Amino acid sequence: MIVGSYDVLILFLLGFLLGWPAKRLHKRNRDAFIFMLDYVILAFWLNFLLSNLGLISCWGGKLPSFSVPFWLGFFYILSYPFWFWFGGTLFFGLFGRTPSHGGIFWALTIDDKTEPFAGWQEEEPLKIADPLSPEEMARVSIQEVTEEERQKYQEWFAQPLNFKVVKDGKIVYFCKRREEAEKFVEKLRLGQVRIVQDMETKIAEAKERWDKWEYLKDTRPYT
Amino acid sequence: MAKVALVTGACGFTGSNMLEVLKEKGWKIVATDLPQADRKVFYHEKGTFAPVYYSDIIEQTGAEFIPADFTKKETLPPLFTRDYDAVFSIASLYDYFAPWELLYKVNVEGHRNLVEAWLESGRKVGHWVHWATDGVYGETPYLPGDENAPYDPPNNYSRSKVEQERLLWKYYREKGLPLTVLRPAPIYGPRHTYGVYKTLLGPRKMGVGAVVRIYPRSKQLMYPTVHVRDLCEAAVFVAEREDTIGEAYNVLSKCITQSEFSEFVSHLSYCSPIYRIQVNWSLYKLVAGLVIKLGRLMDRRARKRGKRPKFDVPEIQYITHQYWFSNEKLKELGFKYKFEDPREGLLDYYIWCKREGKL
Repeated sequence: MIVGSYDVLILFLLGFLLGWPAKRLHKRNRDAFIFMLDYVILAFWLNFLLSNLGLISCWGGKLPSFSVPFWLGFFYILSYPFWFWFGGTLFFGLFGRTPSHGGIFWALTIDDKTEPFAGWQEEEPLKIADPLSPEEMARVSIQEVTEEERQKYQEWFAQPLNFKVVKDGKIVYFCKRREEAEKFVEKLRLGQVRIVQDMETKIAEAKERWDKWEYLKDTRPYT
Repeated sequence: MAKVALVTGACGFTGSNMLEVLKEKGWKIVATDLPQADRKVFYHEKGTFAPVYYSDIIEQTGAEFIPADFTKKETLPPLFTRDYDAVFSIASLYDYFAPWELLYKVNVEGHRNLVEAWLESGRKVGHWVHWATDGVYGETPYLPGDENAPYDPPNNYSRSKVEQERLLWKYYREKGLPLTVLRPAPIYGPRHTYGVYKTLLGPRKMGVGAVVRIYPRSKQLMYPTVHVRDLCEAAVFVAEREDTIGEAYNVLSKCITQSEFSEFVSHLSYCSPIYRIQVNWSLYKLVAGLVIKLGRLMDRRARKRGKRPKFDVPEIQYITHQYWFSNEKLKELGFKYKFEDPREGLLDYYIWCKREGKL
């Protein structure tokens, strides 16, 4: 089995060096370092695979390689992520994981160059949905619930069904008051609500679950 | 003159906190619950989860205690020998491990008995504030789900709460029950030892944390919770308003993502190391599905041995279900949460757990 002679050392150094951009990118994506790890390890494993299949020479022949027994080589390549990880951990320990952290060197410097801590509320708000364009909004309407719909759906709701919001011909919301429907439409427009299912599909599934009641098996009494 | 309240389930976790809030607000309290020995009948004691019963709270708050058992109608008339400004109907069997028949008996038939006892008494009740659960929605067809979302309960307990709600709405429409329904997210706070508690206990016991971040981020699952203090304050808030009758309200802090929650809890629980795993949504679903299967297997094994597993299956199902709800309706009425960010509430709860040696 052919493995690169300096793979472990390179991975350790790469982990250490990539700690810096990962720290800078933390605000945009706190998983930046783990993503880097994924791609770097993938590249190393790919090189290992292709060179052992004889399709390429290890690192294009530009770096030394040596042959090892199978099991030794197997565990050697399995350890790749840890070496990268160790490098990164050392960097983060010395210089900090995020722009708000300074690592051990923070205590050893006179000037504080770290950023203020982000409050809980400021951490990457989750995007709910894209705002609707005027063309999409034109396909949204508020209508009164018909008697037939009321009979079909009412048992699944606590509130009386008086109004519905229809999007692209499908009911996406039921409510008691017109103001609630208007508020829902406004949220749709602003991207503050995400439609997962239309009501007909949802109620059909809920009804099927209710009738079958598959969850009973979770709570059988003691035997 | 002080307002008079009847609080059911007064010696349980939420009920005992309700008594404290009402005392602070100067209400006169009539408290009811099962006698301590009887409570054991309804909860599975084997395994790790034992029934809680905080009888000291009655004396501490100066409440008048009238023991009653919802499943025995003959014990209920003494509760309605006077008028009440509000009934805070908290009592329910909240145990994911309980068999369906028992859940139905307590949560549905028991509540029917209670309302019937009130109707038969002819006494006045100004407001009937009922504790439901946001579990009645399951996964809502739009996110975040509001109070208009349809019922789709994901487990036996939630199903019993749907049946309970339907029954009470029927009394509201047909018999004039002055009903307001509160649908709290999983509740935590002082004296809590089930549900959310296990999300703190798990990492504390394991000693390692896992923060799973799903990509794309739009697929990230949420974790809804509410501090018991906010819930009890909300109950008093709606009870003091006429326009809340006939309405349902979600009661919960701002929903945070499960990864934010686990990150916070891992730090709080001294976990080392904390594994940060970023995973594609499809792969996550596959693995999480296997974890649920494993949970079911453990559940079956535990039942065969006459015990209960460390985690009930519905608790594990949080890792695959999107429970994301809105608390806007209550806030629009002017209610202000003390713990709008659940992490603030969890800190408060954590301190209680440490003091009590629970974590």
